[in-house]
Amino acid sequence: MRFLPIYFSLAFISACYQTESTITDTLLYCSDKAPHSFNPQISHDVATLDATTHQLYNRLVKIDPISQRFVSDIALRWEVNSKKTEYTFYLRRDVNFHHNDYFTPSRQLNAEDVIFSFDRMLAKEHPFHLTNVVAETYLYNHPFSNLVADIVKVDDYTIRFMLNKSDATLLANLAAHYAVIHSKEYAQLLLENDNKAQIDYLPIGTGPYQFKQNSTKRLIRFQAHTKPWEKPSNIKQLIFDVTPNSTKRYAKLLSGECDIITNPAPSQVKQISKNELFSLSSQPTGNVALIAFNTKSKSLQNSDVRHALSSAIDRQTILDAVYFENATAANNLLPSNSWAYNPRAPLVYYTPEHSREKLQNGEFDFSQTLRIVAPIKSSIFNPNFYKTAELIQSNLATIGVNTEIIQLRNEELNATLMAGEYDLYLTGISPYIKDPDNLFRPLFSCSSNQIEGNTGQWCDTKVQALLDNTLLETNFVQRVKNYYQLQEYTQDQLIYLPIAHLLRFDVFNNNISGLQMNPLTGIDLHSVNKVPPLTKEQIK
Amino acid sequence: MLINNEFNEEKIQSPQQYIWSIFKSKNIAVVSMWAVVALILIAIFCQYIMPYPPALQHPDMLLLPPYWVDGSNPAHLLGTDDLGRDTFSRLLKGIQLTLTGALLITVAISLLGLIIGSTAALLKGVKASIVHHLLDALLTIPTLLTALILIVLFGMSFENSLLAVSLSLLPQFIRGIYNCIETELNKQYVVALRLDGSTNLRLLRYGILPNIIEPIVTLLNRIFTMAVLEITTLGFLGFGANLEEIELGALIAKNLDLIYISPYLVLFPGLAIFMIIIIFNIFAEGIRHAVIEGED
Amino acid sequence: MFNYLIRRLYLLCITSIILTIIAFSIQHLTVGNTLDSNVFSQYLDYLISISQGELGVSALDNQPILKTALIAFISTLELCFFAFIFASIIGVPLGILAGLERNRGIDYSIMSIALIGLALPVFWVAIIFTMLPNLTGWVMPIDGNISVIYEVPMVTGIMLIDSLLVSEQYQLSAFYNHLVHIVLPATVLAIFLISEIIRLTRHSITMIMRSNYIKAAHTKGFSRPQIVYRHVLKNAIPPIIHQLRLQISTIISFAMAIEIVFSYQGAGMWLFVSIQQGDYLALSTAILIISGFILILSIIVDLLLVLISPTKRKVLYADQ
Repeated sequence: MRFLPIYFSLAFISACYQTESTITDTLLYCSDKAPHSFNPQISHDVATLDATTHQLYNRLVKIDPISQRFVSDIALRWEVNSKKTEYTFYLRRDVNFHHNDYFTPSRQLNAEDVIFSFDRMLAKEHPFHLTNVVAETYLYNHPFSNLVADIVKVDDYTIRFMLNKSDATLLANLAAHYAVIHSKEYAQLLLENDNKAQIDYLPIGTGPYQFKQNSTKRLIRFQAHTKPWEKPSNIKQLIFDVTPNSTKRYAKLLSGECDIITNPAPSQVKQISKNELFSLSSQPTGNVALIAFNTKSKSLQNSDVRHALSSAIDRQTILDAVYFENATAANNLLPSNSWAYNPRAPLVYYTPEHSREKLQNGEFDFSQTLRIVAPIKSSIFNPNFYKTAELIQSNLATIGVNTEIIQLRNEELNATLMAGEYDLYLTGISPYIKDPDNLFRPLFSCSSNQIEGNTGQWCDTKVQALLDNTLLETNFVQRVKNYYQLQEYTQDQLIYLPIAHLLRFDVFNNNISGLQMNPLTGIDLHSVNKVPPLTKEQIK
Repeated sequence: MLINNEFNEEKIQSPQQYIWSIFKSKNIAVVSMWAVVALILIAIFCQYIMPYPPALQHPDMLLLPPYWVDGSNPAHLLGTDDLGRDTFSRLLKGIQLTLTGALLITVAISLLGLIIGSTAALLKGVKASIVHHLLDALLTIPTLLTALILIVLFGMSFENSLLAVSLSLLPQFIRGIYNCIETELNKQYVVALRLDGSTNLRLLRYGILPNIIEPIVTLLNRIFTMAVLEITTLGFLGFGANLEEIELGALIAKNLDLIYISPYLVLFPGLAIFMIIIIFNIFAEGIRHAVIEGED
Repeated sequence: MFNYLIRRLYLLCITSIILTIIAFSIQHLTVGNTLDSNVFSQYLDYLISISQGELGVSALDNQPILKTALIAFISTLELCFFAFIFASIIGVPLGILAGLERNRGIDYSIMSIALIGLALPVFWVAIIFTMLPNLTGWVMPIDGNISVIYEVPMVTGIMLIDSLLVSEQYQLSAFYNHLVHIVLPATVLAIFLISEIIRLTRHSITMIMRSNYIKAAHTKGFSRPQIVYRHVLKNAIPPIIHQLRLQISTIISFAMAIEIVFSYQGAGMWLFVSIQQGDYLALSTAILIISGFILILSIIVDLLLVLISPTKRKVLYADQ
């Protein structure tokens, strides 16, 4: 009897407790990874895009999610000359930059800011060009450097892009995540204080939310733009809560500590889709999960060996066991809806019975142990690298090939990759814009190293020539032909064995609406609306 | 107990036999003893009991539930995991690894601890003081922290986690032994033995040890319990067994992702840990009671 | 009294010197200083920096590691405190009941509860508790020590007080939210603590019920409740506290494991993250802070016991 007060107080505590989902002006977004920086120009990982592109920044133009057409953003309207070599953009005159405790803008956005933002990527002598950029990879300025000859300021609110050649992809590039507009005034302030690095970590933009605090990479706080030039957002406080553990993320969604979770574990997807309290959104991405064969490795130099090993790997079981059928089987690096997809490229079938024979004919040394290297942490490519490696290991064991699984953390992993001390590597590739070059170049180009994506360590003149020529080729039919040829050749060489085309999943509480997912530029939380949580009866 | 019967024809039992006869008279103690034997047999003959090799994948039978749930397959008693590996076999393997580890630690600690503890207790002067203070200092470091430090120093592996757990539990045991002997040393029978001129070793062997069996059983039981808990905790946190080794804590950590789709995979290893500790505790309690009653 | 105090302080000094040596060697082995000067002078430098409260800067966030560690450890202590209160409220009465009814049905059932509480691996129970919102629909927070929507600046480092200090902005809701976040992890820790407290209380009560002064009280004709309230309880508490003091390090160990499951930002979570990311300076700092705390606490408890318990007071006058 004497414990009754305790039970009462416990009951009281739990009855009075209201979860965060009841607070309608605060949005909790639980992601699996912390962004690398707050500038999508230099960081292209999904976490950075989600946290920045639509939240902190604006671009000249954007793509309407419904009609898939280019619509105005910072540029009110634009004109193209008849040869399609000059694009003139007329800017809005009422765009405010963020105003917070580390920056007070003295003016509104004008042409200087736009030119500054693009010059940082394009001009090698620009003071911010190499700021926070470890090595100048092709990714940093590739889309523009081949395209844009000059950017001219016509007047304070008009700029003109001069192109090298006629090109129709400029608008697509300007709507991509890396074309965000920064404040030149803020950059100059940092330059005077000799604190250039801050530009990417304490960001200033024009987007609906402004940066407030980033505490120990676990919690990022945004608040609504204090002087919004667009429709003010309903959410006043936006919090990115980095929760790497997927079980924990889902548990937090259930306990009301997250409004939106990204990347639920594939094993949870089925259960989530049955729960009427939540909505599940799935989006195809360009991301492909791969097994890379180290073609510099002595035992894998021969493409017959690579074919024999590939046909012994049961990829369907990997899809079932690792992705729980929440990914599409991949036969080709490109998704089948891509314009460059070659339906006639050679495929790999699961025929383990022939593999051993082939290996014996190829004088494969069965006494050796192949090293399967995989990252220790799960990534967007693979929810469980170890499980995948275990499946491959048991598949290869049935044809008599010994393997060992080596899981490594980041620094060790990069060192191992650069030293080439691996045979099979579990990885993936995620393109940034819908252009096949963006997928093939990191994988096959001689100038791309193992960390940039060429984990097959492939380099030959034929592939390199195909890549380079196609990039400059203007004739669309010829481009398609070239990519067909490239796919046939690389599939025949089998440097990479594609496993799956991946989907992006986000789960959100039913009291959230107005979420916009963009598979290439990240999530858009501008027009999110949050109402008090619905009960199960209301949903029915 | 007084012997009232003047015509007692029974032989007078040795203390061990007497304790054993008391132990035998308690049902629950006997049951727990057989359970302990069964667990140890499982650990030894794990290879032959397991229905399947623990790493064998059945790609056509993923995530089966245990046999009493719909959709199960009688071939896999407790179901399968996400790679179609038999849960029952993996559980047995896990019990083998965890139990062997905990028993090894308990044996090693009891040997080392008895030697160090009794030496420290019988020493006098500066040496004793050093041991005393060192123990005091070591005892203030939480066991999990000790284990983490040792793992950082020696690297991550199951063997090292065992070493870490034993080193973190050793001071507790030494301290316990030390205190027991210290209390006994102040008793009059020890003084009497001393006056008889017995050496320290003789004093320990015939004087003190038979009288501190009960606290030693309690201490060993506690060490064993803590060893199981800590091995599994380290395994769970990913600092112990590596991914290929199936240890109960690591098994829970590995299956954590699947808790919403197949909670059994997390429940069973936890229950196994629970059962191991319960069985050994009841067994130890049985012995302790028998010893206490035997002494009365 | 004064002599006794001096003796305890002397013990404290020696033990803390041993601790600093251990911490120094660990730092030496893990972080690996350059061997320019000899080890002894390095150790002296280390002692000086400890006395100035400068333990270095964390490699992870470039913040002074001492501050981070202290804030984390205080959170752990909050957790332990609540678990202890909770466990005492439940454990002490049960233990007394078991001790008084020794070897009867009620004793056996209470002791079975205690045994179960001891045998349950805490991290596993913590996992089961984090599943509660899913299993029962009973919504309780399972992550961190306060909802992320509250921005609580660290003024004192003690979240209970800091969350009260922001009441101007959030009223009492931040404080209340913090309390609710402690409930589940503290309950898990309390499950272990309850069984420990039951065992210790029962043992202590049994010992006292056997003692001669209780028998004397019986013969005087006092009723059982009278004896229990007047004599037994008062004398049973000191041995329990004394035994619990020896278990503080185990309790903190368990608290750290629980923290990791609940992402409760305490010492355990901080150590776990630091080690995973390769900041080994955390290890020696943790030793200094946690062990230093346990050391000082046990001496305070010793002194308190001496003050409240007459039987222990004799050490004040004894020479040894």
